[in-house]
Amino acid sequence: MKLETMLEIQSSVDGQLDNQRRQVVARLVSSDTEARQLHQQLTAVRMALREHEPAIRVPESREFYWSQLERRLQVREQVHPPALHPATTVWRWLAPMMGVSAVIAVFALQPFATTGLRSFPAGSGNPQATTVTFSSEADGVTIHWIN
Amino acid sequence: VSLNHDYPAATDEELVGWSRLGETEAFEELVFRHRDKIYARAMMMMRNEEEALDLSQEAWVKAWQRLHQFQGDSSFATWMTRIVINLCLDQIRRQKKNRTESIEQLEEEVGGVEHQLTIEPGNPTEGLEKDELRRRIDDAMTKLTPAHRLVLVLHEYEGMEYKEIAKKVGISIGTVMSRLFYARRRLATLLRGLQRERDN
Repeated sequence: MKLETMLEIQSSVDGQLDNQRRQVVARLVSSDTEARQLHQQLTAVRMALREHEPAIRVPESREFYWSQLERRLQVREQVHPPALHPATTVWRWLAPMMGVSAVIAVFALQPFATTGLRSFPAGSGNPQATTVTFSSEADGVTIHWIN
Repeated sequence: VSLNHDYPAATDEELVGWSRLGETEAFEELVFRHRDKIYARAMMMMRNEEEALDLSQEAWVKAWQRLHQFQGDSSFATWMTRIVINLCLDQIRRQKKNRTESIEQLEEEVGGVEHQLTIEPGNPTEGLEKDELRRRIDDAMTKLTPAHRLVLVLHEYEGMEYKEIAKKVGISIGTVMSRLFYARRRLATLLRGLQRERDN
């Protein structure tokens, strides 16, 4: 049997042939003894491997394996710290900044919550001038800015 | 960092999420769950306990450093297995550069030896008990060259198609088919030999 034919039989066993080629191989396998034997052999080996994967286990206890790994991680992290997820990195900077901004905003806006801020043209002769008046009833204070 | 999560009861995805936040206990649980599979894959490819241990640990270090790259497209176990396979492939390539191949190995790798193996009727695994067969397969795998074993492991245990293997290993599809064919027939011969030994 030619090597190409043998490889084609193998491809059929592995399901790597298109429908047309698979039918050609199926006909050959049913009519040729050598082809049939090869098909059976390859199928048997394939099944044996897939269904009887050797059971290999780490020959060390959980604690010992982890302690070795932990040491490696510590050494490596001193050289190359682990890269964080991009979202985590952004959030790391964004969160404190947002916190600080929120605190500043609260303090900055607090006086206006209980006091009044009005802006109107000044009654002076200068039409360009405006006056801003700030008054706090609680503190009994009124301040006028004339621009 | 520990937030007293119930690690053993958590899913892999939850453990990955907590590990990303720096919870080493979550990562330890992932290691505990999958360390046998990762080590087994390295052992199947390298056939050397010391190397397999080293490469499996290296795979975990890489995983820890690249956890942010895990997108959840595949399972965590699959993602980890790909990492260890890539490390083993790199190691095999490094070793190949420094190794003088025997004539038999060179012949096997370039092909042409397929015809030397006769096709015998019958199932080469017939009559073997499950545990015995598992042990025999393990022994037979050791007798294959690294190049043949590699293709066999990627195809049979990782379920990769010819095309994927060719791309990963850097060989042609024809070579993948040829190596796979040789590896299987050699395994059949080895298992049949063991069968005969037992019968005598």
